[in-house]
Amino acid sequence: MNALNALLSIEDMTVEYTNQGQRFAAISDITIDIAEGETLGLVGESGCGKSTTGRAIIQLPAPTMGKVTFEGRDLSELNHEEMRQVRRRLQIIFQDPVSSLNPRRKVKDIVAEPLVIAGMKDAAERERRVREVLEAVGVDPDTAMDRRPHQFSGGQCQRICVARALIMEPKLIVCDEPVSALDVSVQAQILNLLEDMKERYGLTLLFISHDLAVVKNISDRVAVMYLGKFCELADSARIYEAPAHPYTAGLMATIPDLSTIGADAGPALIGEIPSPLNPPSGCRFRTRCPHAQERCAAEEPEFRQIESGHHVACHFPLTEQGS
Amino acid sequence: MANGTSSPLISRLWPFGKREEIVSARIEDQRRLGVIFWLATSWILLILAATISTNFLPFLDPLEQDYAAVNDRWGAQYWVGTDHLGRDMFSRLIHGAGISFRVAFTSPFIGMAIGLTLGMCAGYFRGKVDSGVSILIDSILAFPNIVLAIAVLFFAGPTIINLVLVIAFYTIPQFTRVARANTLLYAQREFVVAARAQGASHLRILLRELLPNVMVPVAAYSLLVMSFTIVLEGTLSFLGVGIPPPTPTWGRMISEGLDELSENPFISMYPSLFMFLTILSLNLMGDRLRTMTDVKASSL
Amino acid sequence: MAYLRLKTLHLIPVFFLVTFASFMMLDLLPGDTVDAILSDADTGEIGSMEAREALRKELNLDKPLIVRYALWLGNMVQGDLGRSYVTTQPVTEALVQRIPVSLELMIMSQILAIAMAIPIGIYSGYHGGSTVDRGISAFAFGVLSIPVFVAGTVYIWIFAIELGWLPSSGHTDFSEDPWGNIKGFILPALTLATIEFPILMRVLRVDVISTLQEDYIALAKSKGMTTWYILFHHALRPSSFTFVTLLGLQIGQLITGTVVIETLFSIPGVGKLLIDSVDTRDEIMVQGVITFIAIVYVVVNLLVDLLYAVLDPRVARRA
Repeated sequence: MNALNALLSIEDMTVEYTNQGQRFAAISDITIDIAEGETLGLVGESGCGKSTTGRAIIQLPAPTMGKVTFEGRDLSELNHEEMRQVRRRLQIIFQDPVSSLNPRRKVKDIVAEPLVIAGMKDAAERERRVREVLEAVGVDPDTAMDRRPHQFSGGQCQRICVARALIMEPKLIVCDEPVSALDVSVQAQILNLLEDMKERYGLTLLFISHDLAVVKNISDRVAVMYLGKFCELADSARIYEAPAHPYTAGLMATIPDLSTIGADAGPALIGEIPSPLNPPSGCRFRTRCPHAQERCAAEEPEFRQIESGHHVACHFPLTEQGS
Repeated sequence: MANGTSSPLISRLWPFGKREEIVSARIEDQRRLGVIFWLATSWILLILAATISTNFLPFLDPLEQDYAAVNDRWGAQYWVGTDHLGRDMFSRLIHGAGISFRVAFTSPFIGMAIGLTLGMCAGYFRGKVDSGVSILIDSILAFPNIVLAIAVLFFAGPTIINLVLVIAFYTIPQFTRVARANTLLYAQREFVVAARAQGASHLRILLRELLPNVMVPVAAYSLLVMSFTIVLEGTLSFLGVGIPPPTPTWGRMISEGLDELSENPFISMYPSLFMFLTILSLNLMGDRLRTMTDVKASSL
Repeated sequence: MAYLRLKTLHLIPVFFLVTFASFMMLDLLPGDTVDAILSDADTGEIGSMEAREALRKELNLDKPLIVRYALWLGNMVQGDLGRSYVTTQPVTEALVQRIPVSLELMIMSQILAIAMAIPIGIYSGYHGGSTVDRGISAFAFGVLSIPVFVAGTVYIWIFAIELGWLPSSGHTDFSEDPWGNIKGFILPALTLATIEFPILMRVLRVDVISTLQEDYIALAKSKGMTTWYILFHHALRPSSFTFVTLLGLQIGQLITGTVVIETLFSIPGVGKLLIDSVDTRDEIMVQGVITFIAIVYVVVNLLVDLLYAVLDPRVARRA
């Protein structure tokens, strides 16, 4: 991939956790670039490490190994103060909007907090900026500013979260399942809001979701993750049209209105995700893969390019089998 | 029989009935403060107001002995009567409340300040800080409270400052535990990660994000701690190791009345009743507020 | 077992902390330690020059602090906690005389507390949510708000003064007059039990309610077992182990209660010894008794922790 115009690049990133004295990798050796202005969708079942990836990008917590480069600077080499400066251009939105807002603070204080942390002393200017950004996300500043989060619905809380993320005019926003906790009717509103804001503020988005249907429309490219590793990466249109990895196909089979699109889509996913404490040998997906063969257990498939911009980690990609 | 439970097997076989009533009663109880809460609050405010008013209202001297009116029953001059030395019991009861309330309103705040700091740091930083705090708390709890209090008041002198400090010392573990548990809970919430993502310092997160949330259950808990301090102060006074005479305290009034129980049981019974009502009121208020602000009760 | 080792290791710093704090108490005395100990409580007379020198030597006041502590600790481990300067009795001897009395009071009160808690707790839990249950819960809440000395005073007034059923004070040796001995303990033990039983009762009540909601109880019932059989065989057994640990956890309250009750009812136990020594300004005796109580407390707490781990293996694993 072209690393020249990448806003964020991740190289060989690994995040390890300790669970009851045993170390295990929540994500291992992933490499990806996000170009300026694009929306990258990151999809996978819960526990696959997609949220961990999002958190590792904002260095909370920082990855155990590997390099995260943002705007050409290696984040691990920054000191405390430099990191604080960078954080302003690197924001995050969470799944649960209610839990993301401090229940004891007023909306205007919550949204103005990044400005205060950045050292803006002028209270009038802060208020002007808060009003502006609240209006932009579709929340009426006059009624909202002096209220507390519990007086708002989930969708409105998510709008406030977006406002807080936008107020520092960031370059990249990590959206960690931003609509999963919302009603279906509200989901579309928030997705539209994110699209509008992307245009208005010139944002780059990393959009994390377990729901392929949600990711489909908003993303330029989609990466599919399984047990802490990428299994497929392609343009949004291409991956939905012709998924190469059996896992991607399996995920699509679970979506009713998409299952007819992929011609060679396999059966819906069966079985449980193996424990990341003890991942299967070879290809991590082989225990659930309908096409698994001996080679899959012995040899770990490389994450290789099968056509322009289409990467897959599979010994027997579906696209090749069909031809 | 319980009808319409989620588990039809249980509803058919459930032999004891009333299961849902228990549950629904509990939920209902958690919503309102209730009449009893306000009665309890009134009692505490009444005693508090009376205690403060001793500074400017003409109460009788609690120490003056009227030998013409020993062991008097209630009347116009001595409202609730006099004790075996002819001292006005009403005035003594109100002045006695003074010591209890001074301890109850100072010790918990010293303990709360220290306990909040320790508990929040333990819950936020975890790891080694947490272990360090827990060793500290275990050390405080290594002495039974009454014994350390007796020792300090005996060896360092029975002054009100020593009394306040030694009781405050024993409120630290309780506040630390409540603060730590609540900090652990809130520190996992995403608004804390959001604050860090904005570049907020640890101190700022502790003060601005966590303290306003942790403060609520801790403050509710402080009522229960107040009741604990009143019991402890009363016990020390009763044992004769607290504030020395002639300052009237409820605990000493009760012990002074012991020899007079057959002649004039009111000398002991009035302060007993006052203490009971005060402790009961604080417990009722604290228990109600705690259930409303409980870690478990506040849903994520 | 790792948990056992951890807990026992934990005991070592706590032991030194507690003994050091007890040892340091003498240094809290205002003015010169020797003057403070030898001065007569009533006349304020200070002892003779020889007595002062002898005491200074006995307390090793001429040596540095850490040496003094080591010597004191060494003596303590051998059972020598010094001797009273008021009664000249060795502290350990005084303690040995008093311990059985305190133990008898504690054991009697715990038996009474359990005897009160079990029937009331089971009844209350079995009729969970009923008016009677609510009444019992409210009553228990009220009892928990009564300080032990208030309860004792009220009992003396009612049972000893007004009704005249039991003595309000006095203690006779069991060997001399067994019935008199027990009679003297009834009111004190009842007072302590009154304070202790509501917590035990509440725990038992909650356990009975939650056990009765288990599916297997419904199953047992459907098999035709009687309710009382189910209560005693299924509900009481899991409760009893919470119960045992709770009894242990109440040890702090029990020590406080014993000190107060012994003073109130003039029972010559360890608590009374402590308060009497405070009254006569018997510094060495106070220090010795406090050291003794603190060590007992630490050891009992350790035993409770270990017992808890044995009864409920999850505790050990969590640590």
